[in-house]
Amino acid sequence: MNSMTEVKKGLGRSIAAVALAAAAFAVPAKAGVIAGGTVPVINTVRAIGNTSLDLSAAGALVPIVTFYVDNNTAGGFTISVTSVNGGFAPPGGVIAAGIAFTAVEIAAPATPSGTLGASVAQWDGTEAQAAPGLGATTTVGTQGVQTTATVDYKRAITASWAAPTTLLAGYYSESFTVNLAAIF
Amino acid sequence: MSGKRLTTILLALTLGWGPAYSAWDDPPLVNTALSTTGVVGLNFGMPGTRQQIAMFLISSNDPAGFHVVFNFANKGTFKSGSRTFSMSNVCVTGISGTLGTGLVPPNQYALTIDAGTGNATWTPTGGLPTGATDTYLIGIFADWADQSGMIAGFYQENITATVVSGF
Repeated sequence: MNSMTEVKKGLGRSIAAVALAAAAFAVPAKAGVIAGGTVPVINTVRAIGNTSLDLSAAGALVPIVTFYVDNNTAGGFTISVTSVNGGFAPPGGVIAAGIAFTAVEIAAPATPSGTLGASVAQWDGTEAQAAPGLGATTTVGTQGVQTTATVDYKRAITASWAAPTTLLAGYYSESFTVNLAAIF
Repeated sequence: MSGKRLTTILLALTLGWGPAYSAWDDPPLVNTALSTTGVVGLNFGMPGTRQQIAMFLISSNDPAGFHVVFNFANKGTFKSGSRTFSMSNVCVTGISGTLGTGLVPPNQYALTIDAGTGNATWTPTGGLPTGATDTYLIGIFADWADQSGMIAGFYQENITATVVSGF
């Protein structure tokens, strides 16, 4: 009986030693990490106004603003163009004394450039709003989910107006707001 | 020798007690890789040149030498959903720690990523080591082009390092 007890004790000590040895040498030969970063969101628009228009005669979809869109959000974007007065106003004067727009559109420029992102709901780059009249007018275009970015995409704001026959000479102007809203 | 002591010794030998010794007084074999840092703050809105993307700590006292097999899960591309772009000029450079005596420290050691397996191997040169490599820090570096024209988001690659015995 004493011999069996001694054998069992010896067995217990040996098993413990094996477990400790295994634990001490369970070291990894393999390790893994994630490497990555971001492509930052780009959502910018810049616009250039035409300040040398001839307002002495009627205008028919004349380019009056050129703007460029950069956007890389996966959800696409909306582009809105707001004519503040709905026409050309005299400096400090009342718009009613100005030249009303008969149409405001977003359209292709005379020299297109840039890239519109690929999308199953791709904006066709044109929006029309007829007979806006005097007063604020907003025209909106929508680009759907994109799989590639819109880069330096050039568009124009065009406007039409009737010939001003009773206006006094002077400088007449309008302010446009171009707003680019990203969709995530 | 008593019967009890003999029994204990026999049981110990049967259970394989003790580490994997090549001889009774040799140190245990070590071939290990520990991950330290994966860089996750890379700016892909501008080009990257020799940018560090990961680091690993390598230890080995294998008299047969060692090599490290890196696996790039995305085959060397940064990926965000279905959108990907490639890294280029991937290389390994030693940063700090002890490289086994006789081995040449990697300095922009080019890694060629297999298009099928995603594996790339650094095999130290200089012949068989005459000393251990002990917590040797290596960095993986890569280039990429300006990706500001890509859809915004987080792009990643998963890299593992496995230390393998021999050259």
